[in-house]
Amino acid sequence: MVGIRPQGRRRSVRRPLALAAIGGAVLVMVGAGVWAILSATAFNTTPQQVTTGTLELTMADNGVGFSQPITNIAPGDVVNRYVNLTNGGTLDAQALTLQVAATGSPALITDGSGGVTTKALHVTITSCSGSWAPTTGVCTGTPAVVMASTVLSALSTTPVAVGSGVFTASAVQHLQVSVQLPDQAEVAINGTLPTNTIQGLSAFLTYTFAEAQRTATLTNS
Amino acid sequence: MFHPAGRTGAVAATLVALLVVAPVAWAGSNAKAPGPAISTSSGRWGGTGAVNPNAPVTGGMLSGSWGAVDGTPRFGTVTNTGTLVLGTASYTVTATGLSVGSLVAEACSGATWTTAGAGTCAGSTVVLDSTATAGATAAIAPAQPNAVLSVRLKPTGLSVAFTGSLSISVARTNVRAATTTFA
Repeated sequence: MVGIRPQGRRRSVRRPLALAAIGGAVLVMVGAGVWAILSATAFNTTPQQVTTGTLELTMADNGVGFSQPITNIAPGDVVNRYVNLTNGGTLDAQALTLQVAATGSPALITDGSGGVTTKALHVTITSCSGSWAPTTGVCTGTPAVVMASTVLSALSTTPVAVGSGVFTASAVQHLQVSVQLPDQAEVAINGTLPTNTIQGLSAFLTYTFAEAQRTATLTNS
Repeated sequence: MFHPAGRTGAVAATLVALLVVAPVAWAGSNAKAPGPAISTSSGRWGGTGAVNPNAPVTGGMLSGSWGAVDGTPRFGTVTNTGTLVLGTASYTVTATGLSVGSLVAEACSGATWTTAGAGTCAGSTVVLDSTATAGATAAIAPAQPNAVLSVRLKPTGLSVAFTGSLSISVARTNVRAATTTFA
């Protein structure tokens, strides 16, 4: 009696498992047939290409440009240099700006830095719809002031707008950069320069033009 | 379900993630074209006087001392010590102890004063200033940087000891006119 009970207990465990497996297989086979639906897809055989545009700004000297220093400038003097800016990317640009990093003598950078009367260097930018002749300052098209006379200190802290509107891709801006030391009076007595003089000073200027991409667009086509 | 501290931490982490992503989401394309640093230097102007080696020099002025009944002139130079071209300069003769007579400063234009005796000028003599007048702006100056103008300080009609000097001042108006250059 004791040896028969374990055999009966083993048989009762296998049977439900086998029934469950068989039942599950039947449900899978029959259910798939019952719930199957028709479907269809469509796709483009040639992948759609999406490319991003480029925004590139380059600067080249026209004449000596920024490659030569300006020396021995006297109050009232204006020194004109010429550069060409090219929007070499594939995107139109906007918001052309100029920032000038200036180091050196503070009196040449900030008004009143050397003394209450000292006047620092100012920069003016004039665009030409044609091109500039760098040795004569003649514009073959129409000149237009795109950045009014601005003291260096203002240009070094915040970028200043250079004109407005769209800077078309592949277009070139022909710019005249005028550097002026405003007129101011000083007297040197017996060879001695006055205190807080504007004379004999030097500043080092790095011009950086910048542009932003055109306004984002929504296209339907 | 969440522990309060855990929820707060999750919210904070989400906000930080949004802050990091936000600038990227709003950033447009920008392009820059920086140029090389270009130096800009201002010029200087000035003129300084110096007497000949046998006479004293004070503060860049041309000066001298005269004894009683001493009519010997002093000779010297005015040099353009600046870097800019001068058109004119202001000259002022002063004298201390001078009760009679006068002290006159004269330039020798186009030549140099000879220093023997009262001196002679092979060029043309130009009066710069005199104690008999009040300072003057002479239309003569050592034009080019480092150029030298020969001058003479000459007492006239004196019989007392005194000291005198010639001072030179150069203002912006004495320097070349402002220019506009293209390059």
